[in-house]
Amino acid sequence: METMLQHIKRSWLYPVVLLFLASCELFEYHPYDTQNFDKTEVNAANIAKIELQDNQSDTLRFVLIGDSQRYYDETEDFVDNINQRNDIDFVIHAGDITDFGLSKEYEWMYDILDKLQVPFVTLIGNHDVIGHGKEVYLTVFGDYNFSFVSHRTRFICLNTNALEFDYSTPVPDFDYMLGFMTDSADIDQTIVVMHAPPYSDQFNNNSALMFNHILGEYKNLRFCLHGHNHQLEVNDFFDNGILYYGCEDISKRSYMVFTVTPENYSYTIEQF
Amino acid sequence: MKTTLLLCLSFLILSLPLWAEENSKYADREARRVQKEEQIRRKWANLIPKQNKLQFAGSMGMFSGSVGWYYGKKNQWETDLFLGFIPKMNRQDGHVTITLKETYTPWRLSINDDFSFEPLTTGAYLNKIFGEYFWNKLPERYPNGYYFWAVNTRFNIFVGQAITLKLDKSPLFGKELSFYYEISTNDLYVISAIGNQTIHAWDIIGLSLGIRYRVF
Repeated sequence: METMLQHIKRSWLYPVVLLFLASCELFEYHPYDTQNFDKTEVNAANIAKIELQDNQSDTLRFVLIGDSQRYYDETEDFVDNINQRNDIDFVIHAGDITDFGLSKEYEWMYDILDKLQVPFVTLIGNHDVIGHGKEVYLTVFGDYNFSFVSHRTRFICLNTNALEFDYSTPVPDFDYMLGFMTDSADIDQTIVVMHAPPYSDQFNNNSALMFNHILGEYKNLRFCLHGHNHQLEVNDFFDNGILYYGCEDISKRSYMVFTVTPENYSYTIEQF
Repeated sequence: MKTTLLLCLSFLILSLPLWAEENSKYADREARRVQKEEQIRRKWANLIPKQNKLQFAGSMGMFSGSVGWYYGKKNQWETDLFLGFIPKMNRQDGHVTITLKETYTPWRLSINDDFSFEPLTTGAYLNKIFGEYFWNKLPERYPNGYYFWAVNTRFNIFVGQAITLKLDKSPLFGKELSFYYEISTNDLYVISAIGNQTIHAWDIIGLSLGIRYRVF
């Protein structure tokens, strides 16, 4: 094999072989196909990194962004900005990483976010579902619903894009949500993240009260986070003191930093 | 009796040209009918496909096969209708696609008796994919104008080159065989690249290879 490679390297075939290898990715069967992906289980890999972090300090500090669809330049500037800080534990992307659900959009956005020096997790947004986008998400990032623990805090990330799935998939997935009512992990508190908030056009609003009921059973639920509305929002949807924070889309060149301690929490909006 | 016979004979003789006239009228009509039929046949014959293509990739399927026509003063225009497929892969279902493609080839340079070269081929194609999650019109469950594009329809543009081998020396093989490659992109890729310096031209292009066979 070695000698064969040497042989090829010296011959006129070398540029031809190189060109052929480079062109493999250029052969696209369809904009929505899933052929060219080599990245899988990105969320799981990042969660492993988050859970390996030093969790001794009781101050948790993370960043929330959302709706980076088609804003590649801004997302790149965001990544540069975060990489200049050293006080962030991880980044949560609240969904809509793509605009059309195209495979190439997934690739472009992943390549930018992957430059983050801190771990990042990515939720599925309604735009990410379109066409075969949902299959790409499953392949590249993993399950639609996922959770992790950092600094004794349970993060539950939920798919709330009910309109997109048109009842073919349970959204929100009560079975999955019920599993955390008796959380066996050694945690002090819970934070729930979703793409579309309750009572939005995507949410299955018939289930909103049940959704709220289950959330109420979680251990020390501090607050909820979402994207989707492209603007800064703080809502108490169910008049029970559980606040839902919504972030701006990335084109507005802002992100939210949440600092959570056992006694209280605060957030700032950072411009870049 | 004689006179009657004579009368009859003269009547017959006199009426012969009339017969002939009738006959020629008939023959004329027949000729016109044949001519008309020929015309209709010729018109329909123009619709017989004159070429086939087989294309690999190009955002219109893994492999697509076509029937098509070439026309114009210098045969510089081609219209092809493709049927293609995308195989089942990863978690994704297989799909059937159809494509309507228009090609413009301004020049054809002769290399030698057998080969000629088309330094530029360009054109556009409209591709439709069939499948559960690929709609043309926004499904009713969405509010009006929720998504602005048709998920199942892509508009592509391309440039390419081709090399052609003449086959007409043997009566067995048809007219000619060409090999082409094309570089293409589509509407949504262009929209994505606009306003983003991080998305370059090479990020949004695809490559396809194909064979064109002209029967006559």
